[in-house]
Amino acid sequence: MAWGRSARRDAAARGAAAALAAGLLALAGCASIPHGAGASPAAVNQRGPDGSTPLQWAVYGEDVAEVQRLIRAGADVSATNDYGATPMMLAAMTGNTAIIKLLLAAGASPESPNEEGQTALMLVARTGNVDAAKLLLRHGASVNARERFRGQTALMWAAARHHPQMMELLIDHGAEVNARSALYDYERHVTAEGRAKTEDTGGLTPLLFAARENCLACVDVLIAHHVDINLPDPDGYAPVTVAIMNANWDVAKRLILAGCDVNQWDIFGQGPLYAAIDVGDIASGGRGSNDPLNQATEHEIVHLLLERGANPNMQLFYRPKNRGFAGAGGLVSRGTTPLIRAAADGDVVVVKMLLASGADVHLYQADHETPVMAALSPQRGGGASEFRAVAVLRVLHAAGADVNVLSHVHPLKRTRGGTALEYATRLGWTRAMALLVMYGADVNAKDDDGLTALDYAMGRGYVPFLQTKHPPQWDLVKLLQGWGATVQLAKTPYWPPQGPPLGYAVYSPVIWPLGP
Amino acid sequence: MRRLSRRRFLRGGLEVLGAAASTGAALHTARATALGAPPQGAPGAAASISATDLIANDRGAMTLLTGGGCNVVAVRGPEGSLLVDGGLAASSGALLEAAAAATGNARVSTLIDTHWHPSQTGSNERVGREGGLIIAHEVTRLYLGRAALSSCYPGSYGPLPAVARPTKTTRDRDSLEFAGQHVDYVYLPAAHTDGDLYVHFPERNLLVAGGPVLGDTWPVLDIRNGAWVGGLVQAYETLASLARPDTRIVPANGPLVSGAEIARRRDIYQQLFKQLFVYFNKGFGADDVIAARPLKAYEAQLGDPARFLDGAYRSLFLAYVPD
Repeated sequence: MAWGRSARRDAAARGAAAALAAGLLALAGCASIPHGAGASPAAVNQRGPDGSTPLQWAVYGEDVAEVQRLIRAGADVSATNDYGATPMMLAAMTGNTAIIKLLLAAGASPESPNEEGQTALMLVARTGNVDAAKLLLRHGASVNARERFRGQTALMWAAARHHPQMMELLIDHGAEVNARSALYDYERHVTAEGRAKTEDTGGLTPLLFAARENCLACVDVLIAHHVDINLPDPDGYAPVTVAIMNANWDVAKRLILAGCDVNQWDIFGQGPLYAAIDVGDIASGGRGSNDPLNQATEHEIVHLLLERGANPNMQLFYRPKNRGFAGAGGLVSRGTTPLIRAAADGDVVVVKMLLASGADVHLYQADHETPVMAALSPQRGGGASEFRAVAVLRVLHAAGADVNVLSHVHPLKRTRGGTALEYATRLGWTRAMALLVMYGADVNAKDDDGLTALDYAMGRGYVPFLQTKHPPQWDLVKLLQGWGATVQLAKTPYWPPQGPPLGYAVYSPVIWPLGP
Repeated sequence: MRRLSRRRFLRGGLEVLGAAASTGAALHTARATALGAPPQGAPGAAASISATDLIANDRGAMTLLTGGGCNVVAVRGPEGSLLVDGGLAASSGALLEAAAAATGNARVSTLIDTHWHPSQTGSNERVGREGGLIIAHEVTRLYLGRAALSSCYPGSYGPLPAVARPTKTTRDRDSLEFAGQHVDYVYLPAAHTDGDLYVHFPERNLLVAGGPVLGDTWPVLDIRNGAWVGGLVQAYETLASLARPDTRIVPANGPLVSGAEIARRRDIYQQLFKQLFVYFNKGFGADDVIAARPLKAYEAQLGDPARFLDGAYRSLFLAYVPD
């Protein structure tokens, strides 16, 4: 039996469904259809309140004998209920081969599309019942029909529901392996809430469905049938990136080994390497796959990508839309590199891998946030503890990182910039502070607000929305003064109370920094 | 003036997408292409090349070559000429011949790509094979090494052969001395692509602006590759700060523009940027923005801005990706 798991589930529920159908039939007023040859066609096709006929209920309940009896009694095999469902659609939904056979023999259309063009074959493809699909195809069902709501084909449905054997059958009958579902170009991206939202753009292919749904066997089928393994979605997400974004490491590995493009970036500038490091985020609640069958790991994928020529210096254009500000998105702006992302995670293994592959420690974000600063940004989505950050700092320093870069105010990231020493001071990470000073950090450097590390230790820093002023931390003050810190403001600046940080809703004459 | 309804716009886009899907083109290519033809940077057939002296009384010292896919500036040098941009590959032969005739030297010793689009980089291979230096932004080198998709034309472009890829790159700014004059080439982030350079000849009061500037029409944003309207505004702010009112600006296509005109356009784009935010907060879609005609005062001079507005407004959705 070629059924997939959904079909097995259906079979297990069949008895219950039949009982339910009988009950519903009675409730719908259709229980009085006389048995035997004496029933008139009118009585056989008597409709319930929702327009369903006894045949539809019998099909729904997978009662083969009753279906046979009703057809013999003259039941209309093409009747449509108030929801637009025909008996064939109901049979296809449960993938019942025997009933589909009876309906076809009685003259039902093998397509039986609903008002949106959804065909019986699409429904059967979803169940994984290959025999039922064969039956429909033998009777002329169109293998490349598209429903009009999403423009999806039976092959896409099979891919999305983990039915590789069904995919084989459909492809053998001419299904287009590179077909693309309808694209969605939403007019409105701003909700009543008064802020922008992203919408899916559709345009998925069978491979993108399989990659997203972690169906390795489906990917294998498509590769065997010469699918374009690089065909991206409308936002440029390549199949390998889609697999990675869903932590489907095995699928990603298969695509990489099949020779996919390891540098294809999406509209946000995100390539597979960045995505792997971002999703593989060890400590900050990175989205893990729900499927326990992955054998490959994030590190393995990063290694494979680098080995296959992934560019470790590819920079983001924008914060990817799958990353909310509350996650690692708060760290990210134009120019973010895989190294910066790995440093933010405190993932010293990946940091080393990237550096060994030519990652440039001098590539910064547009606001000049550096890999060193990223390692010191756990509150913005990075996963580094001080212990891990210190390990990353050592590696970055050995690679020539500059610890005296000054990053700038960035309204969208809601950051005030500063030096790496200021970042460490804000966290109270004394080991990191000591390390930075040892590496030559200027203890008296001022940031865009005119503050020094000593000012932050004194609690004079900017007060963001819904936060309170920090009290002086005298232990940090002593440390900094011991390292020669002398420059500080005479008093705490006035920080006006902040409203909700809807930076995007307000035009600023200063467009946030874009320079390298 | 042709205006596009949402339905027509989408239908056009889908038709292009359908045609382009097999080559891996992205939706945004289709969207952009649906809004205007021919798209900036699109591959196309060769045309006849026209040469115009940029330096009076010094024939061939600096020549503007047009008709090869983009404006090309050829500078005469002792050991070969300097070209800023190289036109389409299909026009490359004719362009290089025209450059040789103008400068009196058949060899191109240095070629600067202002960005990676096919209309700028079509002579890379010929110049590279002759041992010429090819200068570009690092991103241009990256893009030319692979099949790259764009919002500006259907299908993909590249990879170019290794010999056609830039041999010297910058991520920020750099300069060179050529034929006794100083030449700066500097990054304009996120303006037309994500790897735009302008090339400044300060002693000649000449600025080659590259992709962000079109002489007689609105620019195009390759939002598939990092361009966004804020970057465009910044690019104009940068160019306007460099240019004097009488500075001659060589745009990617179209007639030369004065420094004064660049300052005027900077003001237009700054104002537009503010207006787009107003639309953004009203919940407008791109079609609504086009229908609102925020640039109608300039349409007589610069034509229908629908395609530009579409890209500019869509780029806001990318830059302001929600929380």
